[in-house]
Amino acid sequence: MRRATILTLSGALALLLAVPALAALVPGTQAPDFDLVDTAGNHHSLQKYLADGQVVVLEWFNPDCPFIVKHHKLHRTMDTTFAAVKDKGVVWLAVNSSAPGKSGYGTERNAKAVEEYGMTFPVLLDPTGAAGKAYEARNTPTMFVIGRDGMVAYAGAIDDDASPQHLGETNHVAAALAALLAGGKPAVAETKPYGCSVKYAD
Amino acid sequence: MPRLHRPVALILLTLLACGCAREGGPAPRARDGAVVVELLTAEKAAVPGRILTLGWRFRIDEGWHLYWHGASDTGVPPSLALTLPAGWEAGPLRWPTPRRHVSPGDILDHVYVGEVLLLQTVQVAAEAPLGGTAEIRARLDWLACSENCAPGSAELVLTLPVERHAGPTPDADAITRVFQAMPRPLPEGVATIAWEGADLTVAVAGAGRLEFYPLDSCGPLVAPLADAAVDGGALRLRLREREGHVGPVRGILFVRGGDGAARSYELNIPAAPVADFPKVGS
Repeated sequence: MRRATILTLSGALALLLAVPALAALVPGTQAPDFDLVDTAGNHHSLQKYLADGQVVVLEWFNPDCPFIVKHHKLHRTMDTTFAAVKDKGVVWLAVNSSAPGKSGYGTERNAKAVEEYGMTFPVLLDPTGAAGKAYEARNTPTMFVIGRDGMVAYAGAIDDDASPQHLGETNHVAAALAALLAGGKPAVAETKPYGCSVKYAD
Repeated sequence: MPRLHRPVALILLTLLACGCAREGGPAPRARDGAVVVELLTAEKAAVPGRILTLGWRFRIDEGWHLYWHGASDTGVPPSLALTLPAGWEAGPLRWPTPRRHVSPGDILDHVYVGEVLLLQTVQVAAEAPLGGTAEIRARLDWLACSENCAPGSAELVLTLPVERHAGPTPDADAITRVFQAMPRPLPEGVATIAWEGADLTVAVAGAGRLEFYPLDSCGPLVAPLADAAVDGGALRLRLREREGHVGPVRGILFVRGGDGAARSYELNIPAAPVADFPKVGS
């Protein structure tokens, strides 16, 4: 109860002071809606997935970032984590907010990445950066787990090793999903994301 | 005076470059991508029971940067795995004051560009045998970024003679200059520090510019991008409340004096309970 009050207060203060937020969107916040197109031309609307009763995982993505390469190629963290929950009402979406002319931008580049990395989920393109900024995503990857209630249940890193090579011991997203699917709340709801900068327009 | 055959000279150069005893020879160095890393020492030899000063010099290609070890929105700092002879002990890496690097989307990083020298002292074992040599092995990993990021790594091996006395190397002056510019504990009287609500004001009389570089252990700031660098002598940091507290405020305070001279200090202000403050906004 007290926690909720503090969150509301700091939320109000943040608005009042009109300053950029600290980190990615904090847990307990309503997940901003989006309607984005993937590399195959399909639309993905958060609202629609939530209406279907799905848990949604968002992964901020850039195929040319070494930390994305770490979790898609050196290790298959993202697809493996998704595979474990795929049949349990979980949707996983990669979102690329690279602006035109920036690293990792474009339908073609990302379609190639889906193939090269053997991705089992789509890459949504956000070239205006509107979705990225709404989620306050600064890193690729930044992970969000959104509960069926539409609230951010987890925000932060995929795991606890910020190097570009080594896997962490704890997969925070797997843990958050396990807790949510069991009807509970993630024990760790917020971590500091790590990775490359999101390549927003100048 | 006999002239060396070119092939002989080349072989000699190669032997020196591959690192055998350091005295007078070139420092071990390696390039990977946009970064050249080099292991310097301030002393020509290791002296049993004494301190040996290591300098890890990174030369960074134009347009690229490496990351400081404290807080940044993105990236990771270089890391070092050191293998020393038995009984030798390495101190912590010491990091010079970084600079701010802002990317589109209000992304704030604290980085090094051009060149940076990280320092580290090593306690040489008292029983290190005189007249022998000692080997220092290092594996370095880093992330260099420009528009893209690229991980880099290098393995360096330095073989030093172990002697009773050691004179300075040609790098000693550069190491001393970097050492003298390292952040030091904030002396009494340099800054006036005052809380007002959850805001901390750090004032330095006569300063032309102030910058604050938070460590990872610093309590969250509301807006480091807007708050943590200012022209003039007063820096106002807004702290985000966390579990009834704000702070601690930990990091480096960079001060450029009115005369242009730069100094860096360690700022370490304990966390304070919010209840102790006047109401925010009042």
